[in-house]
Amino acid sequence: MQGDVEASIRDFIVDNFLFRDDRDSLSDTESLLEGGLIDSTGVLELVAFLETEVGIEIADAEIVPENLDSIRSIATYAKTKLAQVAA
Amino acid sequence: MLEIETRNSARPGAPRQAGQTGKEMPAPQESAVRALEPADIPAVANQFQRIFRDPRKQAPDSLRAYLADLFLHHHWREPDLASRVYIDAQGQVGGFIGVLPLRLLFNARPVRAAVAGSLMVDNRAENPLAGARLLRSFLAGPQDLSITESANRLSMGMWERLGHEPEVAYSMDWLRVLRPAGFAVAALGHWLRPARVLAPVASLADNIGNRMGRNALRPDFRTRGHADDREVGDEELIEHIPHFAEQYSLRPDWDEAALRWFLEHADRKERYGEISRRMVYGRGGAPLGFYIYHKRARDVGRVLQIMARPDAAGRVVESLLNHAYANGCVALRGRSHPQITGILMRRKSLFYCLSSTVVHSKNRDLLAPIRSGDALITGLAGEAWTRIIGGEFT
Repeated sequence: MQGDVEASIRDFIVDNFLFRDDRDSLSDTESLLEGGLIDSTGVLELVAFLETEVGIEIADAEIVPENLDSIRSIATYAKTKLAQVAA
Repeated sequence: MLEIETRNSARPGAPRQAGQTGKEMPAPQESAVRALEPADIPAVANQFQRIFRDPRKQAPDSLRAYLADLFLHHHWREPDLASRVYIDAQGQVGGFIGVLPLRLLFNARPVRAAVAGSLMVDNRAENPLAGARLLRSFLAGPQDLSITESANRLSMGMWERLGHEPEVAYSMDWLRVLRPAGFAVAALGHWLRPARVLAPVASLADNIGNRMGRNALRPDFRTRGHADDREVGDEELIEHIPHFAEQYSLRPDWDEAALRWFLEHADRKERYGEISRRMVYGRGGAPLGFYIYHKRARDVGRVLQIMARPDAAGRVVESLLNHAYANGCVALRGRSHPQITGILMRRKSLFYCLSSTVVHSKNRDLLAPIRSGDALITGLAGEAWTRIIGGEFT
């Protein structure tokens, strides 16, 4: 899963939150929160996806924009957590 | 009551790069969710006032005192079942979720439950994930069973994203119109206050309709078997409520002191009118059931609780409708419960959903009685007894 983390996160977000036709226009660094793609409701689904599909455990204090605001930041955060588990 | 404030919410617009708005994101260690403390009450009360009441006014002292009483001095308070606040990056209270401890019995075994309500978040643009963190924090608590009976569209969406569906049998509101013209005016008056001047005209129209036998909604139940009802005080209610509750395998573990505390809170709902607490008796004076509702002439009565012996629920409902009609109510509304839904349906009630009841437990055994209608988890057992719903704070 780890090698595909960024791709699977992108797929999940595009499939569940993107209502635009131009699926490829969502950049890895675009803010999901400021763009209105994800809100408090959506983030719960994202967190559930990361916990069940990516296999990381997310503490309440880690549900912050720094970790969940873009595909890149989510992937970086997830990879860091996976590395912590593996270490 | 679950609500997320929508002012200042992020608007979809041109994409921007994360972290490049010029507005500094709070660092992970700066925002936090923690247990409610007495010093938080003024901020929570102001937020409550802005979001649920009148944003032009400061929270009155009576509201502060009530929130402290409810959330810090609950009769069943337990330190680890506390309400929670979201502290934002500036160290201010940016969100709140009220948690009411609920002691249940499941097949005579104690169950720790918690009822969530009053979920509110200020300034969502700056605290976009606060609602999610508050709800997640609540669900991660030590309780065996998590309940809300007031999830609105927005917060229901959050529950659904977590994989929970509303408990339909406990999520419907029912409405029984008693005086059609009066109800139309009362409904209009809630939106347009001056329309209330039409109430005497509506009353006249309903009276004429009744005399002509044209009001098919007039309750005039001649019940099968004997039924008599009268107003009762705390002592009689406290004596009988646990007996009526015993028919449910999942029910509150009320003792005398607890019931007294809940009933005292339920007493005052100034927005709904004066309370009526009436016991219904059968032949020989045997209690058949009771009802508690708030009423005001020419307005809609609000039913808090109906409980009855399984074989007498119809007679108790009919006593309630008769009493409300005799006291000038134009309609009655309340929350559905599997025991009374069919009875109300057959007595010309309408059903709709304003807010949903949702439950969460890792123990599937606890969910089974709720799904089968064998649970008492709303009304006096849930959140509706609080003065947050229907109370006036000035």
